[in-house]
Amino acid sequence: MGPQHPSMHGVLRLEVTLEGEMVVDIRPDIGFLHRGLEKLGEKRTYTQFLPYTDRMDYVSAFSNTLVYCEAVEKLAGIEVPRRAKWMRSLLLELQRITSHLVWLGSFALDLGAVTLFLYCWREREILLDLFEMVTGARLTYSWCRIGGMPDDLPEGFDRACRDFLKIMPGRIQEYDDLFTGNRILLARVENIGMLTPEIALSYGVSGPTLRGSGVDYDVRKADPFAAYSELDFEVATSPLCDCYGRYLVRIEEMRQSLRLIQQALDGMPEGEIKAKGTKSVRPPAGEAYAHVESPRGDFGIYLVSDGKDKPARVRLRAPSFSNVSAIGEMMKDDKLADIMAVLGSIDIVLGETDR
Amino acid sequence: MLAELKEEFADGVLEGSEEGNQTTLTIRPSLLLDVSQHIRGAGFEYPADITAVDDGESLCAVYRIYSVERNHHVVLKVPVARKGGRLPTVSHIWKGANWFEREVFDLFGVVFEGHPDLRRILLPADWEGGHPLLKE
Repeated sequence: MGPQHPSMHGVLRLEVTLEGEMVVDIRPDIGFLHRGLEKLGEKRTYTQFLPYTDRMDYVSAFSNTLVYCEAVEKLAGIEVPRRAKWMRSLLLELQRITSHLVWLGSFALDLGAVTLFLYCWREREILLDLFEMVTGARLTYSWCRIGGMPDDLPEGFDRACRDFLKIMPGRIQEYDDLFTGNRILLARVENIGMLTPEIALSYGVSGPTLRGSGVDYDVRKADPFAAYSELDFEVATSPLCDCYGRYLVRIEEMRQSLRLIQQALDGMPEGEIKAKGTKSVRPPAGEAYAHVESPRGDFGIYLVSDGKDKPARVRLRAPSFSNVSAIGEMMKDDKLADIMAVLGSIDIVLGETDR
Repeated sequence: MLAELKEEFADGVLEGSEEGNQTTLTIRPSLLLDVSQHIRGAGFEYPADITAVDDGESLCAVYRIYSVERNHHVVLKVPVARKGGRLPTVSHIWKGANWFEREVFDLFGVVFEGHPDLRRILLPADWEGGHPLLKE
């Protein structure tokens, strides 16, 4: 299957061995979108590489730029102003809902439910308008800077964002009423794509895919970054280990993100948004690892500096890479038609898988 | 964690440090399997990353293994030859190591002995441009 199959969510190729309708083995073949980003990183200054990071997980561009800036800041020992940290958490949660809406819409579409796709795109539009207000862009924002944020939140943003907070809980309820527990959905997702917590961890699976197997691991809690140590939320998990468990986790995560956005708006501290003297950086020789909880999971960047103006090594650890590597395990005892349900339930983005 | 590993693998640990929730160790390649088995038994079940760093003179494989239970990272650094470097696979200890090792093989040329499926992963199978993350 693939790499140009219309329901493939990007250029992924699967070598599927079948016995009748039953899947015997799946070997994913990746790399079709490989652009050599890690190599490019060694040929650019720290600041120049920033816009490249947007192009990894293009459904959640902000999380990539964020983790890159956090890594450079660690390496150079830069302390980010508190207001910038809060803005980062605010935008990351808006981005998480945006990304989960893309997932929900396309997951439903894969299973034949066209209506939900339209609803998700309706709400996503509001979010993209919010991002456009702040950043001027709708998909690839490059909206983080080493040392803070490029600009303050614009006038009118607070109100527009609060309007969104007012309508969104009702909309999530609408998805819930329409889809959660729906018999046609359950027939496609219950006990399909089983992934035990032990196997998931052994593959380095993270994000909602791991939490759908009951493992309480979320980088926002384990290694708090941005403003998460000051914010209150619950980590959504489900013990079901199947496509339905992963579905329930993401629906709950959208609700938790709304809580976080509310707190970030209410408690947004005043003050500077960018550390001084960070226009161009030249970190001392050494290394640093930073990771964030992107909508797809544990996104890490490992930087090594030899004291020059360009990094000696830029390692990009993308959650989709590990998540898709476990698909063979998840498909044991499932049917050919389940592949789309399972693939949709792990919410991969090939831009970050292939880098 | 550091003290425990130093006691267990005394002369094989070339360097070690501990900072926050991360223990970093440089170990002899001959110890890689033993240390891996040991930390896997101690609850380090999640291979966050396996990669390599080339500084132009020497190559070093870097294993970042995490324990959810302990909320702790162990980073193992293992020196390996830049040309024709070989290391034992840990893909039987952590399943996710299978793809990570394939990527290190693809981009740095390190051969993982005992790996069940050591092929290129990001570059095309017929790629003739060598291993692009080596500095040369």
